[in-house]
Amino acid sequence: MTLAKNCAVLALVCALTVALVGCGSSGGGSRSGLVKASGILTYNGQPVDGATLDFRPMDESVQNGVAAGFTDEKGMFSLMTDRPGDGALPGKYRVSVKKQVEMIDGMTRDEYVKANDKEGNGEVSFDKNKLKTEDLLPAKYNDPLNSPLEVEIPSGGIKNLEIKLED
Amino acid sequence: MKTFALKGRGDRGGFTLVELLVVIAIIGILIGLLLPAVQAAREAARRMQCTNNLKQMGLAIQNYHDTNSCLPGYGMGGTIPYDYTPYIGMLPFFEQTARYDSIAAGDGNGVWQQEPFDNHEGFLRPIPTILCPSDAGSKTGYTESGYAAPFTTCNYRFSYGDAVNGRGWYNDCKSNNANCPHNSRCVFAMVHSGRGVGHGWCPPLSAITDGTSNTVLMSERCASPRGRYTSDSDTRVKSGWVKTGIWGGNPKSTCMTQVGNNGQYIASATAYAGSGSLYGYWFFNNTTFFTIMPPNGPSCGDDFTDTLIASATSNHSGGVNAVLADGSVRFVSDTIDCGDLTVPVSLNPAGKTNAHPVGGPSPYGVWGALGSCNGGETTASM
Repeated sequence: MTLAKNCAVLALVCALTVALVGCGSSGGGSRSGLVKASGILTYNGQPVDGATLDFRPMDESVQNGVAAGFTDEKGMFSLMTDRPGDGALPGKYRVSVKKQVEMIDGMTRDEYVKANDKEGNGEVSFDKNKLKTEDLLPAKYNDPLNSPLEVEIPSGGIKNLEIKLED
Repeated sequence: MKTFALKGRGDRGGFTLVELLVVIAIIGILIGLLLPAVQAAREAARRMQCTNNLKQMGLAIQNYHDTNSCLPGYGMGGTIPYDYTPYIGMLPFFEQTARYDSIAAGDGNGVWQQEPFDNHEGFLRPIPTILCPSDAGSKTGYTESGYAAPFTTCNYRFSYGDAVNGRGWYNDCKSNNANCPHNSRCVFAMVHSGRGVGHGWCPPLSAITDGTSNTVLMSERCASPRGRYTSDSDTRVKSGWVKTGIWGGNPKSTCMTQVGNNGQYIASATAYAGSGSLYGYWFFNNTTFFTIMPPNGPSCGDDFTDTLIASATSNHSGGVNAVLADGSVRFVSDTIDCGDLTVPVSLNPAGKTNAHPVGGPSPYGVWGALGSCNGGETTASM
């Protein structure tokens, strides 16, 4: 009987513990319905690093459904919608891809600052009209509304999505 | 002869082994519960002090306003740049009068002498009021070679709202007032000014047409103190910033995608240190934050001076503290609505990207609306 009583007390304590732990803060839940989606970006067969991908839902009724990705040195990317790495909503997307560098007098900003930094303090002014954004990928792919790339994210997610760019 | 209490328990004798084990288990569980609670209590205390410090900043700004009839601005100098942060003007209002006087002494003729990165007592050694105890990284400032002491670092940052000044303004602005961009989105804008503190952009509280309880003045950001022009690496999301050249893309695809695992940026990101290094120097990496990325989100840009979207971050659980223009301190959750981060950041008026008109509602949700002082948003309540 004593053992049964003690076990009852123990059970009570366990229940209380669980209840108290339940009071802890719960993580901000991500939107339901997001599935993991990752893949590789290639241009003429070669992986592209440092490119940004925008996945715009073709169903315009989807709210805040734009998914984004950024390629690593192997051209690999994984999509996010609300939080980094959370995936994308299943469905059809129009994909635009950019890899942009800003140039001034044929140099990047860093090179320009280094070349013109007379005071050696990193503060260099330049004519804003001379700044040009150059896209290292074909222009047809960087228009979010008219890019020819269309993909579908299946409801179970996808790991080997391949986005192929060609001249 | 009954002398011992245990014997007095009659036929039940002592405790059984099982009973003892159960009691030990219960005690173990209780200790297990308590230890994390003690840690949480320590952080709660630090957070409380951090909140209090931020409150002091809010009060200092209000008191500055009472004395000067305007809010402290980023102060650019005349022919010699005195590129101070609002901190310098606020010094006497959070009990740092001696420090202010030493900076303001100048050459004796009213001309301010010190640059905010000089080896001068006004810019060295810590000021506890502008440090958040939760951020251990801010405690040790950077000592420049030959300097008497480490630079004064800071955790509390001034809001630049949801739009960014044009870049390349610095020298343009030195030579010609008309070239000075004015970010009308927020009260802490940087424009050309007269010499010394108090002559810069100095808006009255009435410039905050969205209402003082709907506009954020200051928040916090984790520090990683370095020298003025550091190229040291810092891959932590909360204190480092990633070189992305964000202006070509939008905040979501260019910046949010830079976040990797365990609070670090992704391996391919080029991330730099220097956050909060010099409390007196205007660089965006020192004392500025933007209400674009969510709290504890990534920071991205092209340059640590004037093209960096620095985000509010902290070591508190789940959000950051922020002081509003009405002097109240609020806790802003990481999950605050940030609207549509696929809208490119406005660089009005000097930049090329101008996706949303400066003066209209912020595209960046409640957080963006809190940052703008005149956006006319109807949803700015927290």
